[in-house]
Amino acid sequence: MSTILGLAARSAWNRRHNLVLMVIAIALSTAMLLGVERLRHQIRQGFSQSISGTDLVVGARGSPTQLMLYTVFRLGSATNNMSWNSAQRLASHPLVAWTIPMSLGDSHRGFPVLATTTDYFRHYQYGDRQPLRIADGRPGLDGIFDTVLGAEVARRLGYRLGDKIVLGHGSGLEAMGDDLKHADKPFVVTGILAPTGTPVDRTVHIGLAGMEAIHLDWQAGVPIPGMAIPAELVKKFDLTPKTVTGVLVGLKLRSRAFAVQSQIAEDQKEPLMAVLPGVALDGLWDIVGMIEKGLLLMSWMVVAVGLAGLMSSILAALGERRRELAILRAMGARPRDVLMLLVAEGVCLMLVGTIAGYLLLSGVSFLAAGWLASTFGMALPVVWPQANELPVLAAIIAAGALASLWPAFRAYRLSLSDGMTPHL
Amino acid sequence: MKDVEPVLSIQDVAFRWPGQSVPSVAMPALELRAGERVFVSGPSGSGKSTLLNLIAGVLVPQQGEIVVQHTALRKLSAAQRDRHRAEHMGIIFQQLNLLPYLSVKDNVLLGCRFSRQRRERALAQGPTIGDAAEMLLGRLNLDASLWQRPAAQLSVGQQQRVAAARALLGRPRLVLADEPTSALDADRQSAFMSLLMRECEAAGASLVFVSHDMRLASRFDMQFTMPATGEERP
Repeated sequence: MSTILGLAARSAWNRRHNLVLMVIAIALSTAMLLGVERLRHQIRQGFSQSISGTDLVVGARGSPTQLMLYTVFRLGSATNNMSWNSAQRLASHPLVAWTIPMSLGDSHRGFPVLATTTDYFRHYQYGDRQPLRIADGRPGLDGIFDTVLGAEVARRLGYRLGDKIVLGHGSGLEAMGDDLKHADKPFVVTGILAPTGTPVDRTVHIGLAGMEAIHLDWQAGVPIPGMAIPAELVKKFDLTPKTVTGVLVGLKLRSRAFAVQSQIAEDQKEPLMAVLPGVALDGLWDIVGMIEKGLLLMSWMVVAVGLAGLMSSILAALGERRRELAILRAMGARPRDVLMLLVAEGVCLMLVGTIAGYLLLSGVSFLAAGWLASTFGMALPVVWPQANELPVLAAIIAAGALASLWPAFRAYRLSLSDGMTPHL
Repeated sequence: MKDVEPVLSIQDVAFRWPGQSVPSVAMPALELRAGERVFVSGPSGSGKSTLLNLIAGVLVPQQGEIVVQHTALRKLSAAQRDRHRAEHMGIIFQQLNLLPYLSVKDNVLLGCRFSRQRRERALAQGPTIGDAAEMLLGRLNLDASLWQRPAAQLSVGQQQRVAAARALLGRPRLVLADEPTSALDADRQSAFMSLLMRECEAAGASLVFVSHDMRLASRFDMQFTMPATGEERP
């Protein structure tokens, strides 16, 4: 037994250049599969924790998915809003602890602009009920032209506290010319948020009053000709919003969410709807999750291709090794020793390849951690294999051992029929 | 004390490859006592190599009895035959006898790795089996500077002598040689034959020597010619 393993090691060392290539192939496919698996986990978790602590999302009656896209992901342009009146009635509901009104529509250099109130910074939570943290400045929107930037906005556009920024009207219309910018009323960066890995990072936050102010002299999506209200004078106008896109609601009693939800749905004054964010996010994930499943399928296929390569390499090398096996047979090695020799080599290759793959992934994670966190808000931590990854690793090793079993069995058959005289 | 019983005895042996009607090996009787040498000749394809595989217990004849060192191979399991071979037989091939990734010395020691009995007998040849191996290599005119070299670096003639040393280490009762000189030129053939004969005698081993080269036959105690009728292996 130890004789055979010793010989297997010497033999493998003799063919190390080929074997190293095989190990690299296994390592790459392992690293890829494991990496995709980890990212998938991250994305899924990040997605379902884009928002937390919010019990209901309220908006004009329509599609719950769209309401989530607006209020959580800041995507799309809201077509029907709810009235400010309803938002205020909601805020004074006896079961409601807090509300965050949200108004969307404008953008700044591709980033969505969200008009809200300072309550946003008090009550908005993401992940495992983490509050928003301010990285620089103060988390308030009390001044009409105050703006608080998400981490990614500030980083990508290189903004600092005190910078003046001009918002564009609508989304994606900025490029169409200065006519569609609110150039007369620039905002001042008063705060920059810490990264969250959620759509908050991509958001430019302004106050609801600010949103009203820049649209005082606008109508139907264009500036009213001949009417220009300078920024200094906006305070003379009523800056209370008429409508908002949606309202995030925190309840005093979480258990009453369903009751409040149906009350809102049956509201007599306005057709409204209330969405449970967790349920709506799950619904959204079913759509987005297809990509993730495709990715997983693809990386399993990479593993399969890697193993097929392993198998064909071993099979191809078998022809050259028949002489070696015949010598061992002549020395008294049993056919099952020959089988052992090849299986041991295959299993070792898989073990080494899988471990190398894990180390490769750890190395890449370590090197790319900063970039991943800042660019995608994702963390790919350097960690021991997780409990949910062990079956994946075991599956790779098992599949590899199975793949090397076929050539080993062929070698066994060959050495039975060749005996001491291989017919090459 | 000399063994009265033969080291190798073959009775009415016939072997057919699967799917063949005519046996590729048919041998009515052969007996080889300790220290005796037999020359087995025959054209290529006459089943000479198959015969060696039968004696070594790698193949099993459909008919007849082969007894090596008092043990009928037919009565042994496949694994027991493998062990029996490791214990009592040394084998030399036509060429490419050595594992290229082992040193010359490790190649010689290979035969002892699969059998404890063989190891213990090797200790009678030298203080350690390594010494025994070195001594044999020296007797076969292989210089000490070659012993640690990878086997693949040696010339064909040197490799055949290493193979002979490996076959003889641990004093097997029987040495099976399958055209070991066919890759050598005439001078080296003769020198190799002399060395092989001398060392077989020194080790007390009987020799079954297979070759198509009739010029070598005169050096042997007996001669057996394989009939050319046998079908070739599929």
